[in-house]
Amino acid sequence: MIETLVAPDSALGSIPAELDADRAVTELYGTHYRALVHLAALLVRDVATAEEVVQDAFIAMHGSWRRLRDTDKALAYLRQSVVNKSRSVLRHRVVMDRNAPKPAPDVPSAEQGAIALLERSSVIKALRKLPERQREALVLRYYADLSEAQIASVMGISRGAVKSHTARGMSSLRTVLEGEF
Amino acid sequence: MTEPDGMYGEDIRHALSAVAELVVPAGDGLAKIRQGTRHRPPAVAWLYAYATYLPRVLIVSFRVPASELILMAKGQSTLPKRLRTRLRGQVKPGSPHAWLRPALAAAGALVMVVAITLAVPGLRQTVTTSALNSTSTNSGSAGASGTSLGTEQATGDSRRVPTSSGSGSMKLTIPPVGAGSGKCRSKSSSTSSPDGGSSYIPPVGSSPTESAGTNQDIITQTQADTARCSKSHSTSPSSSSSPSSPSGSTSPGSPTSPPTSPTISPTGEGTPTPTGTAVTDSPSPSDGDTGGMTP
Repeated sequence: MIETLVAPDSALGSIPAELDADRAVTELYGTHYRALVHLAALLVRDVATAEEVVQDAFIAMHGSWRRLRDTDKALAYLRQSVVNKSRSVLRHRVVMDRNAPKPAPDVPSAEQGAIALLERSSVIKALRKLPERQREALVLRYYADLSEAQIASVMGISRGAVKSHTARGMSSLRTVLEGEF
Repeated sequence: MTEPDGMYGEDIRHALSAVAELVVPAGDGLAKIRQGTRHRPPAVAWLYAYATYLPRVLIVSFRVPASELILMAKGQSTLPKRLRTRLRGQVKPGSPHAWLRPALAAAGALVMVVAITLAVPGLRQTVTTSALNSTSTNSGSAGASGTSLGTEQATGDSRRVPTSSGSGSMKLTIPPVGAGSGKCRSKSSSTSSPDGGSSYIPPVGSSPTESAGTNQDIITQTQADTARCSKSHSTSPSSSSSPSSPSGSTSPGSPTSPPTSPTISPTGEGTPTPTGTAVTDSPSPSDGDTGGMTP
């Protein structure tokens, strides 16, 4: 069964508006922390960095709790924050890889080894070759199982742009996978 | 949620889920979040941030001195040599230009003082007036200094001047030209003084009339000299008359040469002046008429 990041409305609605920030963080952590870490790991391809990204998103949500007019949008805020911070991490990583000398490859951990093993699959390889926005759109669509409107809200783009990114990403994947098979 | 891409969409979903299932987050996530969301007053937060920032700054700042201390402990430090060079101002003690800096400073200060003095009208007037007063005062006191210079204790040059009879010699003191205010011979230097020395001595064997007349001429000349010196005190030492020189090149027979036209001996005999000439306007000792009438 695929775990989705879409929490039922009843779960979000159970958080009262007057709930203080600490309690909201605790509730959302127990419910969505793991799924958010998975999403971040798919975007940044690093578990530790993914955890840091999600924790920063929770901290930001805690600081912005008073400005969040609708407590039901806390999860959307967390997703958007995770996506934005993952972009920042990727941009920073690109700059670091461009300027810093490449270190010697060390022995990966068990998790990293498993991820690397799975990433050898043709689908993941093809997914890694996609542009960032197309990859985000496909991950949010096929892993988080979000609708176009939710993807548009999380990525900060229009629904048409979401459709465009998704279609182009699927076309590229199809080309790569048909070439391999 | 519709499935627009059929088989590929399902493959993507399975692959992403398989990768995500391998990710197991650590259990201290909530503790880290709470640590990050811990509420601090702004001042405390600022202090905390500065307290965490300050050690890094100190470490970076003390890295250079620490490395220098390590080098000094090893004896490889060049800091003392650099400090010595810096303290000396990069001028070696034996440098020929070591005197140049204080001299330039003094000259600059003097130029500034003079410029300020000349720039301020009131100050300039005051300085000019005081200079004129001092000039007149100096001319009045020139006789005293000339007297003192006329003695042997002064730096004057003494020599024996033969008299006209050749029976003896008299002592003549030539004051140093340009020494103090005695560059103009005063009356006191040409007349007899109680303490003798280089006083005016009438020649032995000369007739009284002749001697008196000659003396009168010399006195007149000396008085004119004094008056001229009081008027133009700032004449150069080499141009001032010195009637006491024994080796005068004045033409014979003119013992009372005008005092305003002293003759400068080209031979340089006598007291060396700054210009290397001896000033004489006295008649030659070999002159029979004057009979060694030396002032």
